[in-house]
Amino acid sequence: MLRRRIIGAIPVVLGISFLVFLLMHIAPGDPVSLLLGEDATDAEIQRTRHEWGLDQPLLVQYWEFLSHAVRGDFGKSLKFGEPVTKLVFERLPATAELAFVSLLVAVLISIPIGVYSAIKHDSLLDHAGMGLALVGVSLPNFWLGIMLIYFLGGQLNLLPVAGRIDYGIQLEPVTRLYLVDSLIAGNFTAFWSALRHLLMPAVTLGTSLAAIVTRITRSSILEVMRQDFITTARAKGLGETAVVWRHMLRNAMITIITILGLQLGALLNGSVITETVFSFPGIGDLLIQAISLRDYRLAQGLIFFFAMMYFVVNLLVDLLYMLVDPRIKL
Amino acid sequence: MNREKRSGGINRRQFIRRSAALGLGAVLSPSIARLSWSASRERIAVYNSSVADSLNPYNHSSSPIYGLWQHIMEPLVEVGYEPVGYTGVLAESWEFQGKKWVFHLRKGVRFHDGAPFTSKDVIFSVNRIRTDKNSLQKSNFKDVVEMQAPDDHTVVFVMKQPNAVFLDRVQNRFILSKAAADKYGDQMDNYATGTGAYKFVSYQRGGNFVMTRNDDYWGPKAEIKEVIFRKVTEEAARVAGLEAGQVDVINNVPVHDVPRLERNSRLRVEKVEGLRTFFLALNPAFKPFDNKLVRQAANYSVDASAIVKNIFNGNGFVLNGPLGPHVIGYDPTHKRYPYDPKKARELLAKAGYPNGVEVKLYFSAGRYPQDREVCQVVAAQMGKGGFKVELVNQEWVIFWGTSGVNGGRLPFYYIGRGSLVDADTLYDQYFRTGTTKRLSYSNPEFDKLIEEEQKTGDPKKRVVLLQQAGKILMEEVPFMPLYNLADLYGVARNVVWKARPDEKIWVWDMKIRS
Repeated sequence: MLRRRIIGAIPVVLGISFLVFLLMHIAPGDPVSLLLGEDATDAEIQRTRHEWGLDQPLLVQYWEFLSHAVRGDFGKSLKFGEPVTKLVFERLPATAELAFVSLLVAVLISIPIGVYSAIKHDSLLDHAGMGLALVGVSLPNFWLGIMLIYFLGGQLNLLPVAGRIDYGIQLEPVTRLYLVDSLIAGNFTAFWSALRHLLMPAVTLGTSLAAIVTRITRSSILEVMRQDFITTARAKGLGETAVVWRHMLRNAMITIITILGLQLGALLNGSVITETVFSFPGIGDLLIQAISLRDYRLAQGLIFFFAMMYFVVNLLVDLLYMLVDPRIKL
Repeated sequence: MNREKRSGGINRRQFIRRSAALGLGAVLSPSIARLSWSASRERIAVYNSSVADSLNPYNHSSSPIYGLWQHIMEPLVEVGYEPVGYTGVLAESWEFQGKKWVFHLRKGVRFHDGAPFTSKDVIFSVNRIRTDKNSLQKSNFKDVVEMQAPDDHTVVFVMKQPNAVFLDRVQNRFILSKAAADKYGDQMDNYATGTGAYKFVSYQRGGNFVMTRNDDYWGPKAEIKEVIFRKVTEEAARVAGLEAGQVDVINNVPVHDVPRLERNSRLRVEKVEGLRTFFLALNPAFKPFDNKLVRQAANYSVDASAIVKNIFNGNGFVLNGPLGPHVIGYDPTHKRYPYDPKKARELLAKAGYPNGVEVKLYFSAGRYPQDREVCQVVAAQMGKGGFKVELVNQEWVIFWGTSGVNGGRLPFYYIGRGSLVDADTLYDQYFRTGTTKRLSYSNPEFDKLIEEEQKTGDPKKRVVLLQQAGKILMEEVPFMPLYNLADLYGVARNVVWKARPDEKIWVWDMKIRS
């Protein structure tokens, strides 16, 4: 069944690649004059366009891109002059780490509040929790990021305002996930440093997600609470903790996982802005540069990777369903 | 309360609460320790909005990044600003002989790997600039037909035609070690090897660019041991980092943050008149700017000093002519067109537009400081002078591309020419016939002066020619000079350092006051 899913993804990926290619090239703007800068003469601009193949017909350029892309070669970035795949893999771990920690932050905040709000629904705390969720979902994350930088960074000097790790800390790259690599190396200083650098961006990114998940958790628990099997569980004398965590939450989990899976996409989108605000060297930050420079090759490669990640995450979500609910089969 | 007393120890809730407090404390404490800070001789950290994006030293053409690379690798000559002129770095002296430029190289200089610096390194580096597929500095040597190395310490560039501006072309071209290139092949950039006051340590794209002092440097040694550059594009983050003491030097302080930083006893703001010359281009290829009277009317209708005062809080310097005082070819006798909307309307009427004229002003919001506000004020001021100005904002990549400025498609636009050291750069690129399409201004008399100054070896005679060209521009005004802005740096107070006008931060120039 897994094979069918993967084969089914091929036309989707092809479609995305064509759409992205077309949109990038239709959008006005000229990477050559931008990269050559203020000293470029007209003759030089024309020559470079030719060297980079940008004067070829669009379909020829697309074919060139596609025939290399199927072999895993996305060409060289116009700006960096280095292979797109190298640039992406250099930065992917930073984004993955940020997304994971944001997800963790979101889950740790939202599920307890959601469950509590459902159990004590219509209480003062429930209203406060839901009010907070509304605020969380309404805050634009670039604004929240800048506020955190200003207060926690600039005024209180509690957390670092930019980057992934402090100066002078050397880490042997194994997974390139700093938290993991520092644990492997047993380097506790590096671990703290990486964690401290992650906190503000992860909270920025995780807040709106937490807000959504809190509301979903609350409503799914409320629904499950009224089911017969909960009454049965209570009737057979199970403690309240076991009823809530083992029966209610587990049954509410399918909805929550679906939302988390879908929101992971939003998390990656959000990372584009958050990474720029915090100078966090991930692929979101790279995508902004690629698009604003019209670095076609880099942008195409990056969006392709974004699409692939959506696909993989969706697949993982489906596999998780099976784990949570054994009745479901792919 | 009672329960706590009864149990004698702590209960589960208290345990959780206390561990959480302990964990938070551990995460936050290192920064609390730095609450009273100052910069040290051991290490300086710089947050810059523009840092190298790759280890290829030729894959960019941007002044702040030249400034970064010059810590590690050096050019033949560099520009000094008091007074403005060239001084030798790896070249001790030079001669301009008609079609030839002869450079006599400094002796006894060694690369970081111990290899001696010779003319072969110069030829190797220039060849790489000209042939590297990713080089964005090729145009600087477009007139060079041959390079010769008569001995280890002499390099001769033979040009197509005499080129007096060649020093401006070589000032940011860094010399790499040929020995390192032979040793490392296409991996050489990972071992960035130059002759500079600092040695390359490590680099992560988007992360830290780290350098350490070269204790065997041929010149005066730097005081600060380690230097870290980091690219931080978000201005709020740069300012916050400086206020918190996480960083010692930042660039591009937003004008509205200047008073706050100046009040901070640990910080100071370093201000210098920048080299970016801001002006409004009036393209004579389009109506109504084909008429000189209209262009002059436009010049009478804008009050640049009001813009500097109200939008930039005074952090700018109004131009009286095409150039600021740091530029070779500056003419102190220029007077700008005074703000006189009545005169503007009269000139418009004389040009055949008695009821005023509609024009579109193009700009790219966010490219330059407060550019949207500037253009809004320009539109309002010009309104009083009889111009009905419509503002058109374009994304930079469109504005600057071949469908915009570089395709000659814009009649009227707001622009800043950066890193302007020699008037020739501005005059050649914007006003000489055919070099670029940015402005379709064409004047044979002007072209002749430019051709002449480019051949003239005597710097004084060259300046006279450039000044004559400037006079033509001020009479014909295919543009409207506005101002140079102040470059604003935030610096830890105990760092003794004077900012350069060219956006280069040179840490070997810094001293720490103890």
